[in-house]
Amino acid sequence: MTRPLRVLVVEDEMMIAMMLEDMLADLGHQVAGVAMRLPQAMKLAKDIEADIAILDINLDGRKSFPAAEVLRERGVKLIFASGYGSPGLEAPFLEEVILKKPFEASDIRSALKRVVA
Amino acid sequence: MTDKTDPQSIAGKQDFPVGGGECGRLIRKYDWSQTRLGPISKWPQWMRTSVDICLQAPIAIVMLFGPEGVLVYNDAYAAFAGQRHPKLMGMKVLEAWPEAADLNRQVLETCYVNGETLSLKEQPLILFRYNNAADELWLDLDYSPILDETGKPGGVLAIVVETTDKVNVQRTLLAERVAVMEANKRLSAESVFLRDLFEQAPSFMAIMSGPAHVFVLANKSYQHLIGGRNVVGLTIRDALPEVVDQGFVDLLDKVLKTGKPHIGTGTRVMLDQTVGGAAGERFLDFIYQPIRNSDGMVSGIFCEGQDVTERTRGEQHLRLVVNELNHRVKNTLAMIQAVAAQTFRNANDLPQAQAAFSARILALARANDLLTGENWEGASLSDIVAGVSVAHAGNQPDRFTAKGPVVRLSPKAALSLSMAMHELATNAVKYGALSNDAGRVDVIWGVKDGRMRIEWRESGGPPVTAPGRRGFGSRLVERGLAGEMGGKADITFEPSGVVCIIDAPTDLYEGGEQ
Repeated sequence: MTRPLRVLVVEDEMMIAMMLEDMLADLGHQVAGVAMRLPQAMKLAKDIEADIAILDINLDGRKSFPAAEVLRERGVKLIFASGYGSPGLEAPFLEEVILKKPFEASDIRSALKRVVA
Repeated sequence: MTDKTDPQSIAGKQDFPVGGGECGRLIRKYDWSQTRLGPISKWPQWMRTSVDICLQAPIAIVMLFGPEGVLVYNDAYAAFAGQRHPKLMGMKVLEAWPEAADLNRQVLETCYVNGETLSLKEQPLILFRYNNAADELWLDLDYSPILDETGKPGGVLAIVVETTDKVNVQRTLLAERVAVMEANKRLSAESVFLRDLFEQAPSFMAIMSGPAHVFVLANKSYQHLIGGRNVVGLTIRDALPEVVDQGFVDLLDKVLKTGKPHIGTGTRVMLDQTVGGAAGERFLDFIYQPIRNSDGMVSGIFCEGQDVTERTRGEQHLRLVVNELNHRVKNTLAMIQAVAAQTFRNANDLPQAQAAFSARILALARANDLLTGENWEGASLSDIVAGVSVAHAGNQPDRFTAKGPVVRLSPKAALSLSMAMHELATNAVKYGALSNDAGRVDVIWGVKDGRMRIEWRESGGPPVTAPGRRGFGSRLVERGLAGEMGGKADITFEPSGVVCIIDAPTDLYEGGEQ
């Protein structure tokens, strides 16, 4: 187990957001905040204390890239979650780590490892 | 002088007529005394002169002497008469040619009696000249009176010119002309038919000529396609300026240059719907077919095709729906995974957890049904509450009331709220107002100042005590639903019953953020 990380969860599906919280807790990490829509994500992105953000690319029809931009500017590491049929990554985020849905706790662990390594 | 007979005059009398070929001989031998003309030696000078002229003539001449028209003719006429010669010589004309008796009566009347001429051009006659067979022939007949010494008609001279061959040629020519005219008529009808076919064909068609692609023809469907513009006589650049930058002129140039047809399938084109008017998007299946002239050179292009816009849009829509469906199936599976993970996560009692899982999946399915019925465009709050009511208090509808204005929720918000209300209702049935015979649930909502407030209030149930630990349901409502709706959701365990108040800004849930 690496050191506990503070993770911002940006996920528009209520159930999946909650599962993600549980999985992060089980992995020994701390959920710094949860946003389910872009406006909330933008608000949190500006001042949340987090090491990593896991962002669903598609937030109820809107892309999460504006929030990702703010987070990256602030030095928060990024993991993008993408569902089937959802839009893919766009510049300038083409090199970022992708977490494919549906995922398990082990997928999150390896994604976090890649980002903090 | 008396002993000296004029040899010429005697010879003349004996040898009359002189020469005249076969007919001359026949006339000389013939016993004319049997006829009304009397012996040949007694024939007056005018008759003799006439006979001489007739016999020397190279054309067919027959003379009708006297009121009965006794026939005297030459070799040319004999040839014309066929096998009727030599019997004709010296016969009365009406008996000689009984098949032409009517004509000859007219001749005698006109020329002999009245002393006038008669001219018949291309007179059709049926004569029996050979083997007693009917023979249709055409004659030019010229009759003139022969005057005697007193200046009265003594006979009739007839010049017979057979024009059967000429007439036949003319008839053939005429028949050919009629045939040509009929063929022309048929061709012209065919061309009208083809033109109509071209004009009325359901597919659009146009013909362009030369390197500038000048429209020569454009049918109705083509005109319809281009918004009713008249393009015939114009180059494609002048006729349809909007297609130049869309690459169609380059395509035409290529077809003209290479002589190879171009086939477009579902090709998108923006076409002005009126002159200089707004452009409309069309999808076309079409061909540019090179037209070659007799030298094998490509002289123009035939454009033919069909407007498949509706079909293409249908296909695009179908693709979209299939993609959306795939996305939704995957999404639903992810949600089921999440529900399962959270239901079984802290389960102490496996059968109970299984029942809860099953009920949650059913709630998810109900919400799906509701949204499918609305074409996944959203759902109304009252329909969501009604669904929960039927599922948990179906046989006692008066114990579950719902009241509020019409509020539309986005599909996501509708799904989350359905799940949250399922949790509340399950709790009510197990421990709350719906667990005894008297309790009730009232759901009331309203919209004010850009915020929506939903109140779930239980009453009449057993006394409530707050649970020691927040369960999945509470968490779903307070954390999940609050996040989903972008507002607050609080559950309070008041002694009189559970109360849940959801407060959210309307701009988030109304689908306005999509």
